[in-house]
Amino acid sequence: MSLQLPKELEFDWENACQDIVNAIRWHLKNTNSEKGVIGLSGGLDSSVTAILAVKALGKENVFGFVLPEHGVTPEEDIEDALKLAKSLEIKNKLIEITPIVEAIVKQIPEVLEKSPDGGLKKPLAYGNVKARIRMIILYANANLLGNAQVLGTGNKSELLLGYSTKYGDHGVDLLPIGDLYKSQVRYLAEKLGLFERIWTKAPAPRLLKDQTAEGEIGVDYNVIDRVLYYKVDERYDEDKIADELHISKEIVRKLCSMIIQSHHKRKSPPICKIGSATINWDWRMPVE
Amino acid sequence: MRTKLSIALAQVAPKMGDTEGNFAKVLMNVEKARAANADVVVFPELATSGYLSQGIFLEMAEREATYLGRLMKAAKDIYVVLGIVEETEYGTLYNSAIVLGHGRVLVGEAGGVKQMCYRKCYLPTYGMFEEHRWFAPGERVPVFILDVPDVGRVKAGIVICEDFWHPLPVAAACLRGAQFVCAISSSPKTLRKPTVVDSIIITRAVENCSYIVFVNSAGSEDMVNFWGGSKIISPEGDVLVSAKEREEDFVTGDIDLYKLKKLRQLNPMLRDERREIIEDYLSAYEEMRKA
Repeated sequence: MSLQLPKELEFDWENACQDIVNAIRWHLKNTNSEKGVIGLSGGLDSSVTAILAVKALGKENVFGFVLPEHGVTPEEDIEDALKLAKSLEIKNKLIEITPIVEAIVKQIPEVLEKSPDGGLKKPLAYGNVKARIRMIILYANANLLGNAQVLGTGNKSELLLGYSTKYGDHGVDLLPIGDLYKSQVRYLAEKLGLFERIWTKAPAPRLLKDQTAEGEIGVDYNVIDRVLYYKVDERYDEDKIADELHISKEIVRKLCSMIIQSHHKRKSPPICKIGSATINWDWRMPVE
Repeated sequence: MRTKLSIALAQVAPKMGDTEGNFAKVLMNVEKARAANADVVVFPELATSGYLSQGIFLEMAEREATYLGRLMKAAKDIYVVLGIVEETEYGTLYNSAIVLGHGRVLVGEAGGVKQMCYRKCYLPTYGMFEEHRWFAPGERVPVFILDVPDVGRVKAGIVICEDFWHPLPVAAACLRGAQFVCAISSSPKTLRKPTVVDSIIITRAVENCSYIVFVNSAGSEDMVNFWGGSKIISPEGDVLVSAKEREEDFVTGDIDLYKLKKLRQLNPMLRDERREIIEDYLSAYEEMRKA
């Protein structure tokens, strides 16, 4: 199987890889760090990020954490994550998050409240707890290692749609593949020689059982990414996008409204302006 | 007497906020250039502060004075073209380039107006750029006269990054007699960028029949890469020397002033420039502003 990208999303993958590797390397150097910590899910994004991190920092400086939840994370994901860590020869650790989830749920039992149809009343509240537990584990380990940063695995599609948990998988120090759409990441994975079983999986956040990203959004990423491209990179009107891609205006509207509703996830929390040197408005500083 | 000028391209990766470290790199490259017997060493835009320094530009400008003194001592027998943050006595900042060497800071001249530094004229404030927030724009394109041992007087122009995306600044420098134009930049890398910029600088060289010394930053700031790829372009559009992409590098190349004179006779691009068209351009510009 060889992947083809739609024309709009074609890119020079070798060049992009070098850019990402360069940026990771310099960012860590300029912030006096040496090591990268990554949560390995056995999925596409974290696998590609790990490969690039090893290229940038060397295998001795990349630390993979496999953080499954019993009954939710499929066995094949755990196998794939460990197999990748082994093939990259990076240090790795498996930490089961189930007891932590249970401890939190015990204190906040409302997150498991059922709706009349038998499903969870607030699945988001329950799912997000898990993403945030993983963030805590990654940062605790980064602190333990010292001179380490948490490498995020979010891609441009998920960042734009807000398809991530604030302070969960979104709580990271840098986002190396954050300017590549999901289908571009998949294309890169194939080119980088990642195991086919990983890049052919349906994208899934695995916060709830049998959850897949495309199932929740209702369209596949080949369509999603092209809509996002025309909306963000080309700034086309919604109707024009639907015409261009021969898809319903409803799908385009849904995706565009997801972008708008998730603006808050891509910004620092707004600060009420009182003084004359308000952080992020007047006081704008580089990270490094 | 020589007719060739040796130019060193110091493709450095500045670190934001690290004046000390950035000047250490500048001094190291000046030494390299001296060891290579270069007549001029050229550094990228904002080489002493980093490009994305935002709110710390002011402090960076304040810190520069001491280091420039040290640089002046080191550059006793070589000319240095260096991208700096210039601060005026009124507290105005400019994205500038200073030319110093052989014991003095050179003063540029533009139509009888003297100017200490070249000040970037086109400040990009769109997309990821916000230069108008930090800097005031320059208003003229001075040329700097270098007195090079065994070569004599050489006129150099300078433009900074966005300036060469527009045709007029390089043209103005060349009409003022610049024999080579330093096009210094901190150009953030995108997938299309290197190819586009290469085309632009080749066009600028050919349309003005001039050498272009393109020196770009390398490295990365806040995950934004600067792509390096510094090069010297001949008046005929050939790439004479080229530095590595992305990484810090140091290369030298020659500019042949005799050849330039001959080429300008054969390709009279500057002679053929026309007042009528320049005036028409100005009139078209006014129409656009009124629209």
